[in-house]
Amino acid sequence: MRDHELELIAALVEGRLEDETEARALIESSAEARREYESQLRVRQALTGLGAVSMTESERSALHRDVWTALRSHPESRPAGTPWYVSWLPAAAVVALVMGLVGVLAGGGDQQTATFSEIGAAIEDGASTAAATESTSGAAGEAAGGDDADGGMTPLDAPTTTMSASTEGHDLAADDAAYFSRQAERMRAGQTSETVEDTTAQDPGFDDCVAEAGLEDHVAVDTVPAPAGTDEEGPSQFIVAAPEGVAIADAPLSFVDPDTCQVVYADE
Amino acid sequence: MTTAARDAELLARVVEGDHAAFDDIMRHHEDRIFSVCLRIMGNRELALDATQEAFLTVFRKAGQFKGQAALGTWIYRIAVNTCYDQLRRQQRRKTTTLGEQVDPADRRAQDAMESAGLRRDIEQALATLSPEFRAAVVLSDIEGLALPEIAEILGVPIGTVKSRVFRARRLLAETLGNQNR
Repeated sequence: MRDHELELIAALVEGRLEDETEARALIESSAEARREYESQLRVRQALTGLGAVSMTESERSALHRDVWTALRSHPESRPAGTPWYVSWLPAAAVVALVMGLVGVLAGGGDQQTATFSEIGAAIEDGASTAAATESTSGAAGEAAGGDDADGGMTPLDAPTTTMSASTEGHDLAADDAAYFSRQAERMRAGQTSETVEDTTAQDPGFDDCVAEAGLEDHVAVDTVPAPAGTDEEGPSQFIVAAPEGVAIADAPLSFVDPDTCQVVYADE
Repeated sequence: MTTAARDAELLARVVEGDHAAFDDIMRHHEDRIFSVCLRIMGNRELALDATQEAFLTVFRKAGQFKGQAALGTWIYRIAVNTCYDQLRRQQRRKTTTLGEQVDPADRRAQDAMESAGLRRDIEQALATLSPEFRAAVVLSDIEGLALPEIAEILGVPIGTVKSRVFRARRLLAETLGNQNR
């Protein structure tokens, strides 16, 4: 059968035709077309008969409990009206400036004669530059936030981190590294007395994924939401892995893509 | 107030941190989202996980909703993508998707399950389809959505939706034919 005939049959099955004459004539005149129509109709009726399913009350309670628990335990999951990194730009600019000046001063020669007042003036310049950057990036981020939930991220200057270039369906940018670095710091700061054995991964399969990622003697200790702006095709969360038996406060943390089981970011 | 205006206002309140507004959205859409996730995932527990994950994404991305699509369409889209995501993860772990399991306490669901002999067959047949075909035919023939809305949810042209639905029905007919032999 030709495409047009198949289209006619599908439209007839779905009740989309205003005038069914041509389609009816087709299935009257062709045994093949009639078989196709009957087969499609039978399956559609069976599917329609399945109908919508409601949650049980216990499932509904579990859904609400788990969603609110997750939102409370991951405050960074707040709605992304403004890209998260915007609030960090001034601080990042100042840190970069200070580090640059320290590097210059440590480099010897005439540059060592810079005074503290010169450094202070440079920091002030950095702060105003950062403020200007914040204003620009805020507008760009707002414009990039689409209803396809792809979001939009303005790349920051590349920080010094170790990370793989990309994962399946999700290209990691420099700002993702900054996000994971921040998550690692947050975890270490918040769990100073816990060792890795004290924590439980949310999903037993995550440990397999961590092992598959080549992280020997590591276990999954938590998950973090994907950075704002992550493509919907990408993972919605990442596994946090740490060496077994080490206090999390001291542990180098790794972040693993649960789809590809590859390390996307690792602490030095 | 129109539905679109109400949706926009609700999401604006979510972005401002109004948890009650998010709770309203969740309660309004949760059954339909769970239903779609169940048909795609083939298992109530996995469907509940996917529904939860989808609503967390809705919350996180509320500020990115521009109102170009209906809120329900946008949430469906997030849910379908979440299901794809979880199916990929599941495939990686090589766990077998079981047939639909019903909470024994849910007598209503149990009765509904037993009321049609074809039900189990068609659910098993659905599980043999690729996630893309399954999502298309579930949204079309079970949820009864119109082709343009399905195209928007799946992020593909309408022609692709038509083709997927048609081919999915053909594959289901073949599978059901083989099961009944």
